[in-house]
This record gives sequence, C-alpha cells and structure tokens, in this order.
Amino acid sequence: MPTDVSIIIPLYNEVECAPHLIEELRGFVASFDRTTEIILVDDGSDDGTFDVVRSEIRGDARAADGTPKPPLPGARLAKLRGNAGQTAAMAAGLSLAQGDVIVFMDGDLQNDPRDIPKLLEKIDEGYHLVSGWRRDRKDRALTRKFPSWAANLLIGVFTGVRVRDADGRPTGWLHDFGCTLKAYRASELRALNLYSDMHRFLPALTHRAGAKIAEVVVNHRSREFGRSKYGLSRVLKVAADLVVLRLITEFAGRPMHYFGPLALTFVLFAGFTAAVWGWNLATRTGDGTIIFPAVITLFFVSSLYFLFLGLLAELIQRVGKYDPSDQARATLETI
Amino acid sequence: MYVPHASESAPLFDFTLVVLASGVGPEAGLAEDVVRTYTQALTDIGVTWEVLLVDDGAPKEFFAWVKKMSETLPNTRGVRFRRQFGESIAIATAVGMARGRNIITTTWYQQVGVDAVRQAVSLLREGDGRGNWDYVAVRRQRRVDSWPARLQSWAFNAFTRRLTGVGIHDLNASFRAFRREVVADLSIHGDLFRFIPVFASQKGFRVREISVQHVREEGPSTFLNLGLYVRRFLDILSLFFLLKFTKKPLRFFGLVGSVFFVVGFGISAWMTWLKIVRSEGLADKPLLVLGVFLLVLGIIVASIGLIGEIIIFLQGNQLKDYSIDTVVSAGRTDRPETT
Repeated sequence: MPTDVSIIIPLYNEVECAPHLIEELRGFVASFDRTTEIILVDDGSDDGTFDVVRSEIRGDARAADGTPKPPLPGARLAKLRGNAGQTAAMAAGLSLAQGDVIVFMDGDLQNDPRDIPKLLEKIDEGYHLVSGWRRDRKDRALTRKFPSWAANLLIGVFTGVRVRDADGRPTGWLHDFGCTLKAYRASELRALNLYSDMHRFLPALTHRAGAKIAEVVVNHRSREFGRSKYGLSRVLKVAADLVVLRLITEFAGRPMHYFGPLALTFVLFAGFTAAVWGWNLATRTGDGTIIFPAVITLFFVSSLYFLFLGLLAELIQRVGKYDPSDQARATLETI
Repeated sequence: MYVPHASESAPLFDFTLVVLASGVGPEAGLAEDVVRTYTQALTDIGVTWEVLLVDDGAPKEFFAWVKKMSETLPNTRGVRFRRQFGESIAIATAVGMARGRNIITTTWYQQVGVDAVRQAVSLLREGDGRGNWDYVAVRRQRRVDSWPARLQSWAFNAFTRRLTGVGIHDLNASFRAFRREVVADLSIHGDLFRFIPVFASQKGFRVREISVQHVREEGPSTFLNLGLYVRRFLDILSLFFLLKFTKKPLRFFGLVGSVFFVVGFGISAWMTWLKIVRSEGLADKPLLVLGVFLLVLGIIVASIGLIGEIIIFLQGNQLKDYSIDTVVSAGRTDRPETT
C-alpha cells in the first residue's frame, strides 16, 4: 500500500505565482501514484491570494482563452487570520495534515513538485528526514547565495547535523537547511514544537532525537513573479536563533545547570577579588579605597541574583508541560 | 511511534521486570543471568510476571540478544531508543509500557542479590508489621565498589537526606520496586531518576528501605569530577526548593528578599545617619556600597518571587501534588486490590 503523503505549502502574497503553482500541482498529482493531500496555507496575504487559490483548486477559474480549469484533487486551503510567519504557517498546515509523510514546499515556484518522488524514495529506504539541496541556485550571488551559504555553514557547524548513509554512518554535512522542500516522517514532526523561525532548525531538532537524515539534489528555479521576503539581515537572525536553540535544547529541562554555574563563577570572582584586596591590605599598598569592596559586593550580589533566577526557572520548568520523553517516545523501536 | 499507556487497561501481571541497559557497557551474558535469576525467583514466589528489556543506546549486538530473548522467554518484550536518552526517560517509557501492577527495575547485570526481589515482592504484596508499602528502595551492603566511589556516594546521599528530610541511604542503586502508580504520574527527566523515592515520599506514598547484598558494579564511575559535583549539588538545591516552595514561591523569595532588604536598609540608614547627623564623609566607607546593593537585591529577589506566584497562579492548576489513595463510596471500597 502506498504511503499517505501530505504536501504542505505556505503562501504569503503569492497572487501571481499561485495559478502557475496550482497548474504544476495538477500535473504532478495526475502522474503521482500515492494517495496525496495538498494543504495550502494562506498566511494572511493581503493581495487576494486566498480567492485566487480557492477558485483554482475548486475548478472555478478560467484560463486566458475562457476554458474552465479543472479542480485540484486532494487539495485543501487554510486561511490564517493574520500573517503568522512561515514556521507558524507550516505548523498550521501540519495540524491539518493526515499523511504518514509530510512534505513542505515553497509556494513561490522555486521548488519543483517533480522532485517530491525522489524525496519519498529516500523515506522508503528508512530515512526519517530527507532534505532538498538547491545545489545550483538561481539567485543573486551577493544578497541571496552568500547569506544562505554562511547561514548553512553556521547551522551545520553549530548543530553538528550530518547526512548519513543507509547504515547510519555520517557521510557529510547537510548543505541546505533553508530549502523548504523537505520530506519528514510525520511522527518526527509531531514530537516537536514548531514556533518562531524554527523551521530552519527542524533538521537539527530531529537530529538531536537521533533521526537519520538524507539529502537529495533538487531543481531550483529563479523567481519569476512576486518578490522575495528574505534579505541579508537573515544571517544575524539565524545566529541569534542558533544560540537560543542551543540553550533551549540543552537547558529547558534543567535550567539550574545553566544559572548555577554562572552563580558559582561570580562567587569565585568575588572570592578572588577579596583575596587581592586582603593581600593589598596586608602589604599596605592600596588600602583606603572602596573600589575593592564595591567590586566584591557587585560580584556577590550578581551571584545570588543568578541563583534566584535559576530557582525561578526551575519553577517554570516544573509547571510547564515540557516532557522530553515525548521526543524519546517518537524514536522507539519495540518488539 | 506512539506507545500506548498500559495504564489505560487493567494490569495483566503482578510484576513487570524492567531491565535497563544504557550506554556501551551492556553484555548479553550478564543480562541473561539477571533476567533468568530474577524471573525464577518471581516464579518461585508464585506471582505472574512479564519482562521489559530497555535498550537505551546499547551496542547493536545487545539488541540482537533482546530480540532473541523476546522470542524464547515468555511475556518478554524489548524496546530500543535511537540514541541514549538516559535512565529517567528509560524508566518513564518502561512504566508507560508496563502491564504489571508492580514494577521492578534493575540494571543489565545483577547489582544486588536475588534476595532483594523476594523481600521487595513480599513488602509490596503483603506488607509487614508496619503496614503496606508502595515503594521499596534498596541499600547496598558490603559494597563491592571502590572506597572513593562509596565516599562520594555517601556524601551525595547524606546531603540529600539532610536537605529533603527523606531517609533514603542509597539513591544511586538501580534496583527499585514500586507500584505502577507511584511513577506513572511523575514527570522525570535528566538526573531526576535518582530522586524517585523522594518524590514518591512527598506525594504520600509509603517508601521502605531494605538492606541487600551488593553483588556487582559495572559501568564507568567518575571521581573528582568537579562539574559533576556542581551539577549534583544544584540538582539537590533545586529539589529542595521545588519540594518545599513550588506552590508558594513568594514565601521563599519574599523571606530571603526581605532579609536582604532589611539588612541593606539598616546599613543605608546607618550611613545616612552618619552623613547627616555626624557629618562624616562616606567616601571611605565600603559598607555604603554593600547597603545599597543589598537593598536592590532584596527588591529584585522579592520581585522574582512575585513572578513565581504569577506563574503558579496562571499555570499551577496542572500541578498535582497529591495522589489519591482510596475512594470510599457507600457500600464499596475502590482501592485496587494489591495482588
């Protein structure tokens, strides 16, 4: 029996691309041999994307010569109340999806649906996540290619995500975290919490859960309509998100292990400063100043401050619903 | 993959034996020994049992043995994590899957003598002169590990006992026997598995410690690992705080904050008096700095307490710090029979 596939496509102000996208998907669905659902998520567009897509998938639209266009079988369109961002739109799509395999795709025609079977083949081979790799990017070098290359390098080095062969041995870095076209086993995604700009870090998060990741070179086409929603400022955002990701995955379950050592460090600083002060007093080289006690007090008070923040964080952790065994449960193999 | 919670159905067995195999150490030979010995003891006592083998990042050969056991031994299942998730997650998962009314956990080798099984089963089923027991912890006697290991273990246990007031002497032993419901409601992760008897005791479960023969100790032991000591210390500190003050953070932060505030206020007032009444210069008075800092710290700490209270007020209804023992309605008693 073929696997159920859910294709999720976030759309934001893609009124020009949408008819072409649906046309491509019609062709794809007709030639595809698995049961497929296509979930289009309109992320609060204000250019009429919703109406255009609705008439396209229902079969209400007409071609330039007036002939009616066929509907898109298996398609659903969700409209978000406001512009929630790409990750949130993906999460919204995921909440509606029923497939065993989830495929995310851009709505700007840069991804090619004909690459999807290649991704699914790898999933069938036993991989948990198959990432598209836009090896021959059709973008401007300075404003798109370079930031993307830098961001990918940064994420790869920082998170240690590797592509693996069939036996689970690492074969290299993952090249393209930012490519939306990726296929996931649904169980992997459901164990994760999708928020903020986390879609870029889905490979890192699944990697942490022990997932086997593969990479497939996909077709990339330059943007013909609309305009890009990303720019050079992305690298800085990625860097900040990476730090958050590292801290959250490491310490969300045990915040005291973050704040405690900080508190301890400041106590040591205080002790060291006190020793220097004492030595100064003993040798009578620099007494009479309140600099030393002021610094000692500052360090000491900071230390207590971190300690109490740590306790507060422990409290929040205790109250929250965080349960790492959810993640572990997603990876179980039982006999 | 979704693993259904066995608690949703009635228990099928009296005991579930959970074998925890973590890291690169586990060997099939020793594991087979502990499974055979303990299940034989359970059979001899006359209780029904199942076995759950938990492969938490063990070598590939080990899971091959797990598969073999599940085919040869009756009522035996195996479960494998994709990577090592640690003992807390392993226990939580095993408890979620267990179909026994009671659970015994052990390492993949025979850490304590089989007599522990007999004593634990008897205490959980029949109790003793002091009543019924919900959790049986072991205290390893005539220990076979090295003296530095025993020393650091002793310090850890003594410190925990002192701070939590729960009189357990050997929190590091992997042999535990308990009613399923003791752990089913707990959210344990990270290093919290060591403190299960402390949590259980706090929820009102009756925890009993028994002395048993220490047989074997495998796996890496670390000494003089400063980072580890710091983390353990912090764990116990958080535990102490959470046990006592989770539902009333402002009492803790407010108390500590007001002590700082009062001391800081006193010092500042004194300095003000010196300046205004005695007309002394304060430039050479370090105490002024301390006073001001303590004043500010007091306010900050009390404010943290307020944030804590807000969090508890808004979210605390999810916290369950009780466990219902018995519900009596006219005519019948709803406590599940204990085997």
